[in-house]
Order: sequence, then structure tokens, then C-alpha cells
Amino acid sequence: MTKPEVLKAMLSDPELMEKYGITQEKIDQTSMMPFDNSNMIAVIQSMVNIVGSSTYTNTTAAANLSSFLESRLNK
Amino acid sequence: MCYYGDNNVLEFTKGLNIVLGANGYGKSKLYDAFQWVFNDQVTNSDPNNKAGYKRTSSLKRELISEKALAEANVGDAVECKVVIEILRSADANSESYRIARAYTCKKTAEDIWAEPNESKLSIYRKDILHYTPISEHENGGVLERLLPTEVRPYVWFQGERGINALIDTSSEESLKNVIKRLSDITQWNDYIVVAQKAFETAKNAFDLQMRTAKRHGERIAKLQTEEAELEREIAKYDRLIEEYKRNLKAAQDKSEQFDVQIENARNMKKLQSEEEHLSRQLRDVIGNIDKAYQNFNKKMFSNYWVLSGTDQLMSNFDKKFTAYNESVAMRRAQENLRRQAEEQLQTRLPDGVPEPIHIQKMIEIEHCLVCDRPAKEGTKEHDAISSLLPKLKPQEETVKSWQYQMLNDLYHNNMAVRDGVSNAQDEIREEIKEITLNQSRMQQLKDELDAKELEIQEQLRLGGSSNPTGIIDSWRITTADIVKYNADIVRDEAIREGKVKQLKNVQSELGQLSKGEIPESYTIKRDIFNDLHALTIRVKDAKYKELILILESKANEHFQKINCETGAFYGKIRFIEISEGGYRPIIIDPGKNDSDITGSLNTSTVSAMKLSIIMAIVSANANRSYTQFYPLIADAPVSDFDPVKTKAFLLESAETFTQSIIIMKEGLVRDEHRQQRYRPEMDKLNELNNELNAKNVPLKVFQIDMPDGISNENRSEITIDIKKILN
Repeated sequence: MTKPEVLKAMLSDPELMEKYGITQEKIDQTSMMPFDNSNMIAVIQSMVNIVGSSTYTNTTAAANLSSFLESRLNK
Repeated sequence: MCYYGDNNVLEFTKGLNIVLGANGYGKSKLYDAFQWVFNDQVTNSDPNNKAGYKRTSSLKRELISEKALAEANVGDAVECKVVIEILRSADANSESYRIARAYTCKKTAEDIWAEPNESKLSIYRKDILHYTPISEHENGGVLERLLPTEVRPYVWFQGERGINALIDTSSEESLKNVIKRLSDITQWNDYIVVAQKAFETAKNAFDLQMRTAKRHGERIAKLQTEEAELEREIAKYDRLIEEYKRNLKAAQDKSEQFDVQIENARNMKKLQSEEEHLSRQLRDVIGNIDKAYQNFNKKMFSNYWVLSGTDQLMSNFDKKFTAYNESVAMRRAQENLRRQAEEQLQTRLPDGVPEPIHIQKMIEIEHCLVCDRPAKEGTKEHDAISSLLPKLKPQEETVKSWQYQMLNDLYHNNMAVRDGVSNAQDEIREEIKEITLNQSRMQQLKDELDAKELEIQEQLRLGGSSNPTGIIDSWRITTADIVKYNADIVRDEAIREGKVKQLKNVQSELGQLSKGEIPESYTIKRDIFNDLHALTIRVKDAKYKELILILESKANEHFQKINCETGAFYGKIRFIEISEGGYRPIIIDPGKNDSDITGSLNTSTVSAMKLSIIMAIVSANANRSYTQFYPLIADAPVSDFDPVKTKAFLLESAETFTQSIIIMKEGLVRDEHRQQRYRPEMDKLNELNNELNAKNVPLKVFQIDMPDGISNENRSEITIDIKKILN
């Protein structure tokens, strides 16, 4: 699956949509970049990008993802 | 093993290619040629060889044509070489290659050969006009690009064994492997691991921070302890449930074996009952035949059969005897008349002498009527009276009375047996017919018994000798185990669910308590990564199920097209979930309950199901364009199919794959004009060609034939002819 497809698959999860109030319109509008205002959606975008690049090991990828969210929360 | 000669060329087309070859003509060698070039191995049909193939290092000289080996002189080198040219069309974004694999051995002395362990692989890439060799280290990569290892088994397979190796309907692993190998599903594992690691890091940071909380320190410590305990419990129940599921699966597998064993035992019982019935019938028939023979002997005399054919004699005798009697009667009558006349003419007795009739009377009554005195026999009075009678000439005895009596008896006996004798031939004929029928029935029953015995032997071989009581006991235990494990799973899943809820509550409370105690970012990070981890697991599961549904749908498309023309029931393919991620293909009757497996399917329906799944595995991967880039090469895929189904399969292959090469024996019949040779059924091939033409799919047909005059007794004399039959 391509990165946009992975992103869409994750955002379309019914439980996630309900908990975070994600609409279908939102899913259609969201692409890989720019990062969404919602932290959850942004984390998903970041994870797809990091893991999809296959550049990092899983541990490094997890650390990068963690830093990404950290920096967003500390803004 | 390889074909003799160096001009055995097959130029395949885009579209459908059929290679026809009768049994023993070397068609499977063509399939092996592809395998050998790409995998350096050929099929080994020895059932003891689990791998199912042999490598060059095991085969060595066996790879080379026996005729070529036989013709080699000492000092000669003999080679087996296969070259595959892969031509890409101009619009395809890839290159053309020539791949050659060769194996050479040298005859060093009579019956002695130098046989290396390895073959040589050479790959050439086509530049604009020429083929230039690539370096050896690129070989593996090129082969992998041309036909990836993960795809190869599903586009190149041979016969029933090959198909069964790919799709084992008794195992959930087949489809699991397919999904794993041919989809991106494993990429989701990376997402799950990353999300899990991020969550663990965030949670540890959160927990650490919470320990520094001032206001609700005691409560937080208690909740954290409870949280850790719940997590341990949940992990424990996860392990327990996993174990129950493993045990359940083992019990279910065992139960299925019992199903098989019970089925075998049932079959055996049925066969034995049928055998007993046939034996009884045979005994009855033999008894009838014995009785018939005994009766036959009796009836020879009781029904006068021994006299069969003597009607004419009897009739002649009757006529003669009757004639004789008539003649005697006539003679007697004439004699009487003559005597009467004689009596009339005889010298009249003197006057006063009574008439002879009166004298006769007096003699009879022994009394003289003249004197009115007794004249007893022996007295002189009696003698005197008797002397008065004229002496008559004694009658001649024509037939002695004892002879006449015998003939008379014979005559009357004839009368008695006449009807019996005249019916004898018909009766005998009927009796013989009855005996013959019984004998024929006896032979038939004996043949049926022999056949039944063979069936029983085969059933014993397949099912082993069965101990019904043992099977039933074990089945009861296994069934009880299944019930128990199911109950354990339900119970512990409920407990786990409860604990998960408790954990959520604890975590929620910790989240509440964290407000104002620790920076909010810790809580947010923990919650977001927790949700992310759960999300990745759910999405992977959903994607997996989606792939299964796509595969099932595609398989049914192929299945329907292969079967719909036959008119027979074929049902629908359904993939049922056996365990987490484990699916098994079954066939259901769409008119009944979705989970009702249709039993007693014929082998051709099962083969069609497996082939449909194999085709779907490749065709469902629209993203990867497997069917566009990789040819289908199948050896003997349609052995179980009738001509209608075979044609449907060929059409379906042609429509699914850009290129198909089907090697088969179907489509050949005995050639009436040649000795021990075959010819293709051209009308069927032309019909197929017309249908494919209408769809713009090219068709090429080849036949692997043998030249006339070659003896098939000696393998070292055999050569083949590759003939282009169509297009």
C-alpha cells in the first residue's frame, strides 16, 4: 500500500473516527502534508511517513515519533 | 532427461499457449525445463521425496538425453542446455533477457563419465540490437526481478501434487502464507511495533512523573500498582487464551481426523456389508446351479428327457402297432367268417344229431339234452358227446402272446409318455437356459466380489484397519475437549474483557488525578500512543480480512467461469476463519446456511476450487500486476476435468494472464493413420481459437510428438518432434 493509502486506511477506522470526531470529509482532505491541527491525526501522518520510508529501525522510528509529538505538545 | 537434439524450439505467444503431449512423450520435461533454468531443480515424483524436486547436484548425467549419452564416444562431451528468451513488449518498462542454463559431462571411458555437481547459468541482457552477458553477481537479482520467489509457486505449478502443495484445504496455513507472501500485510507489523514502542516509552514517562505527584500520591501509587497487576493479569489471560486456542485447534484437527476415520470405518462397514450381500447372493446362485444340475439328472428319467428326440420313433411305432392290430382284427374277422363258412360247409351231422351249437351247449353244461342224463367231463358220455363235434383247424398264432403283450404294454407306455417326450426338448432348452443364466450370474457375482475385495483393500490402505470402539472412545474424549476448550476460551475472554475494562478505568482515573499534578503532555502522549497502538492492530486485522474477502471474491469469479458451463452443482468458495488469521477454503451451497460445508464433492470440483484460488492469488493483486508480468505455466492442471471444464479453464487462464503456457494431454486422440501415435482434436482446438479470437487473445498450440518408426522399448532411441499445430 502507498503511504496515502495507509493514512486513509488508518483515519477511516470507525473507532478512531468516533473518538476523535473525524469526518469523511476530513479524511478526503487530509494528505501526507501538511500536518493536521489534531495531534492524533498529525501523529498518524508522521508515523506513516517515518515507517513508510523504511529508513529507520522500529526503535528509532518510535523514538522519532515520540519526539515529534513531544515537540508539538511543547509548542 | 532433456530432449534429444539441438533444434527443440517453442516460440510462445502473448495470450494462450497449449502444449499437447501424450503420457510418456516428455511434456512434463518442458515444465521441468523452466524450473531447471530458474531454480536449478526439476520435479521428483517419488512420493518418498517430501521436497518434490531434485537439484542438478543429485541429477547430474540424468539431465542429459539418454539417446545423446548412448551415442557418445569416449572423449565426447555431452550437454543439456535450456535457453529461455524473455521478450518485453515495447511499452513495458523493463528489459528483454536471454537466460541459459547448461550442464555438461564428459565420457572418459566406457560407462564412465566425468559429472560435475553444478550447472552453469548465463544471463544476457538485450541492448537495442544485441544480447550482452551480464556479470554473474547480477544473476540472482535478475531472476528475482523476472519472477519473484514469492510469486513463482503460484504461477508455475505441476499436476495435482503441485496444486495440493499450494492449497491444502485441511490447513489454515496455505492462505496465511499466501496473504503474507503476496500482500503488504506484513508492513502493518512495523506500524504495530513502532506504535507499541512509542506507547511503552510514553507510559513509562507518565508513570515516572506520577510518582512525583504530591496531592494524591497514595492513591496514585495504589492505582499504579493495580494497573501493573491488571496488565500482568491481562498478559496472563492472553497467554492462556492463546494456549486454549492452540489446544482447541489441535483437538479440532484430531476431530477432523476422526471424521475421516469414522468416514473410513463407515465406508469399510458399507463395503463389508456389500461384500457379504454379494457372497450371499453368490452362495444362493451356486446352490441354485447345483440344484438345477441335480434336477436335470432326475428329469432325464422323471420327465422322460432321455427319450427326447424319439417322438418320431414313437409315432412310427404307434402307427405300426395300430396297423398291426387292425390287420390282426381284420384277419380274425376274416378267419371268423371263414370258420363260419366252414362250419356251414362242414359235413352235416346225421339226422337226429343235434346241431353243433347244441352239442357245444351240452358239453358246456355237462349234460346230455337228448338223454337228459349228466355227462361230466372225463366220462364216456361226455366223450361221446364231444366226438360228435367236427374238429376245427387250430388257429395260427401270428404273434406269440407274450410278445404281443410286451408290444401292447409298449404302446400303452408310449401313450403315457408321449406328451412328456414331445415337450422334452423345450424343457431341456429352458433348463439349460436357466442354468446358463445362473452361471453367468455366478461369474458376474464373482467379478463383483473381486472388485469389492479390491475396494476393501484400497479402503484399508487409505484408512488403515479401524477399531470402531477405539475411534468412538477417542472421538468422545476429543469432542469433550473441544467443548471444554471452547468454554475455557469464552470464560477467560470474558474475564480478560473485564480486566481490560478495569484497566481502562484505572488509567482513566490516573489520567484524572494527573491533572494539575504533572504536565498534561505526559498524559496526552500516553493516551495518543495507546490509541495509536490499538488502531494499528485493528487496521491490520481489517486489512487482512479485506484481503481475504478480495481473494474469496476473485476466486469465486474464476470458479464460476470454470464451472458454469458444466451444468453440475459447484457451489461457492468461502474462506472460514479457523483461528486468528487462519482461514480455510470450503465450498458451500449458496442456497443453504453459509457455514454448512458441502460434503462429498467430486475431485474435479475440489481441483477447480484450488485452481481458482491459485489464479485469484495472482489476479487479486491488481496493484502488483502479477498477471501482467508473470506468465502462468501449468503442467497437467486439468487431469480431473471433463472437456467442457477444460475448455472453460483454458479460456479463464487466457483472460486472466497476459501469457499462459498450459502443458496437457487432453485434446489428443489416437491417430488412426499412424501406429501408436496421437493427433490433436482439431475441431475442439479450432473452436477454442475462434472464441479467443473474438476476445483478441492469441492462441498457439504445439504438440510434442514422436517420429514414426521409433521403438518405444528402448529409451536411448527415443527422440521427439515439436510440431506447431495452430497459429
